[in-house]
Amino acid sequence: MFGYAGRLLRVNLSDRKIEIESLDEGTARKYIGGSGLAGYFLVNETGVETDPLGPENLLIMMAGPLTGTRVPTSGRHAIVAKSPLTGIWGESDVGGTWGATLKRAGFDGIIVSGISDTPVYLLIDEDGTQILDARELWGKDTYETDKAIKHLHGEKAVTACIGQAGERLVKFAAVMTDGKDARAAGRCGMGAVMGSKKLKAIAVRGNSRVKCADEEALTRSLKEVVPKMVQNAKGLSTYGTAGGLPTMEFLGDFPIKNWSLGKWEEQAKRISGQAVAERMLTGRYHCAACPIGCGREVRIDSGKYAPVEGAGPEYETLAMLGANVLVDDLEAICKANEMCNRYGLDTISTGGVIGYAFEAFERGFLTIEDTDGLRLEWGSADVLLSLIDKIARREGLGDRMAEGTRAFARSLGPRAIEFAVETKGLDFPAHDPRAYNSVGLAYATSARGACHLSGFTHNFEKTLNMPELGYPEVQDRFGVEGKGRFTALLQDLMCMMDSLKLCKFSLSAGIKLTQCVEWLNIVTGWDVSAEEFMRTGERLFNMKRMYNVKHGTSRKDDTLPYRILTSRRKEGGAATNLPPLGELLSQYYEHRGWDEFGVPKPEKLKELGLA
Amino acid sequence: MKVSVRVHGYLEDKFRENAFEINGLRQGTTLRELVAGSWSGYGLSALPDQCIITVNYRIAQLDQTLKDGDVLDILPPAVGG
Repeated sequence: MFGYAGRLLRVNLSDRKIEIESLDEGTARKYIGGSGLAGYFLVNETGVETDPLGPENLLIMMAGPLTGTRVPTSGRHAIVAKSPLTGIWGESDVGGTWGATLKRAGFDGIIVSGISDTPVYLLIDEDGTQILDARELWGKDTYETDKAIKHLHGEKAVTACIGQAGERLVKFAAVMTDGKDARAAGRCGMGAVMGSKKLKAIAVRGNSRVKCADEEALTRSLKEVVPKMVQNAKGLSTYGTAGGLPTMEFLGDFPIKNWSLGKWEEQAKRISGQAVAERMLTGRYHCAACPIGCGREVRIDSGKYAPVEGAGPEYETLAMLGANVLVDDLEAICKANEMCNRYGLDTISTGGVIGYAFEAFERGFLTIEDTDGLRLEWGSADVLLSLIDKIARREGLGDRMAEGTRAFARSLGPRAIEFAVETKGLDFPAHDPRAYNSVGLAYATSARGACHLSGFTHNFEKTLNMPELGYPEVQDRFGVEGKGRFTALLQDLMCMMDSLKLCKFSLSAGIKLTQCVEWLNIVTGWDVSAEEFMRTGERLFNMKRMYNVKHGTSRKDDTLPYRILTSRRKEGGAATNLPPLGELLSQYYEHRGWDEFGVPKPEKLKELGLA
Repeated sequence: MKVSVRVHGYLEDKFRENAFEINGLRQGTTLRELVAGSWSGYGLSALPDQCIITVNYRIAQLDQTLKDGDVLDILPPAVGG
């Protein structure tokens, strides 16, 4: 089978059993890879009774058919499990070099079950798989863990590991890859699932080539496409994901003071990608096979927050650990980012729950007695850093916050839920649905909860087009008509990108649907049409939906926080807009072939081969 | 006809000024025509692909016709994290 290693590794940590199973071509073509193929196993092998932190939950790390090939931006893999943060479908997508190395070690994915008695790590290479003692690694942060494993197994060992947050089962703990060139599988608490299994790290080494069906055609395609991608993504290369931060602020697409304000112009400039480049950038890094290189290397040698060295903050981090808590001290945010990377914390949910705590303190839902003497005042960088520390260590108030914004808010009483900004238990990423109606619909219906990547629609209401789906022009961000179809189609396309393992920034570099299909066929030798491609994406989206439906999800859960539905910010680039969610949902369900409660109809499931 | 232009983020380096006005535009001028010619006199070297232009805070299409008094904002491409 071209594009695939054709093998999956199963590890049961309870009885230390290691098995290799074959991947058949029929299953591969139906579920592709990444979150699609991982989902196939999660759906079939876990259910309503599965405790996300129990031995029955699976931790599935899955590459795609393009991972490990020369296809640009394909150096990604998915981590899928039942989420301990939300109790439903959990999925996290990550770049770096780990996924490509796993493929080169001869595996498409790993399925981990059970719980080890003592801390362990896995070493996987072409010679086999070993379960090794990690007691000496337990308690180390992710940078230290990566360094220790490289010391033991050589510089070519690529790690995916957890820090202290994952060990302590913080519900939004991340799985981090590539050491100081950090890439985070941040969302949905995959690090807590890994920690619950007493699995500190998975180290992979691999040198074999991933076979491509038509190497010459791939070479021709890359010669034509890559230079254009590099040109289109120049801003992303030069300034990273935060290069557009002032644009987000201008458009009203920016979380300011726990999503309550609409303008923060001067401060936004101080924490933009341009400011990072001017003040602390030492280099940039690339995920495997990426011609863009949006990763930032930063260094701070002096001042209150020194030293900082390694991965610099992304847009999401600068927004959530900066604007959302009114901290505009760039050095402090870099420190907060490094702490989250080392502890293995999702910077989005960390910023979300801290912003929430600041507001709860301001409104009197938390007192100084609750906060171990900390005054949770907006803009306090020192309090921000203290809270990150407390969350990762589950100390005092941090222990309550480590359960996630939804659980924390509920613990403060019914009125305190008013200003909790999450959907299905997942904190909002740093894009505001009041700035794009489609984003409201995408957040409400994404399988993992509030997610900007499952639809990526905001970019098609801002800069991008997709003629193949009937959108030759950028769409009106405040428009309503047709947004159900628009959002659903883009979600289906994103399901495919999450399964092929293509970075969504390739779209910003000019890649279209037709190119994705062409690369899939060049690599696998298949003859997938655009129609089959999109139908497969639809199947995967519905598969995830049905997993949640079995857990009780319906229209009642496809919603947005009160603040987002009801509160106009009165200033900034989206001062008056509120997403008309009811109308959008009705359009969307009708297009999807779901009933009025958001449940896929039997005929739709049959049509998609899911019945 | 006159329009105001403001430049944001790292695009500021590409213009001589961050905020300026363009006067003497004929009625019916489109954004495409403006991008193609009229503001080259304001020091624009090369507008990067995929940068965003809003007219009165609405993201604009290039074939949009401009009106007297419109406020244009030129923003860096933004994909987010």
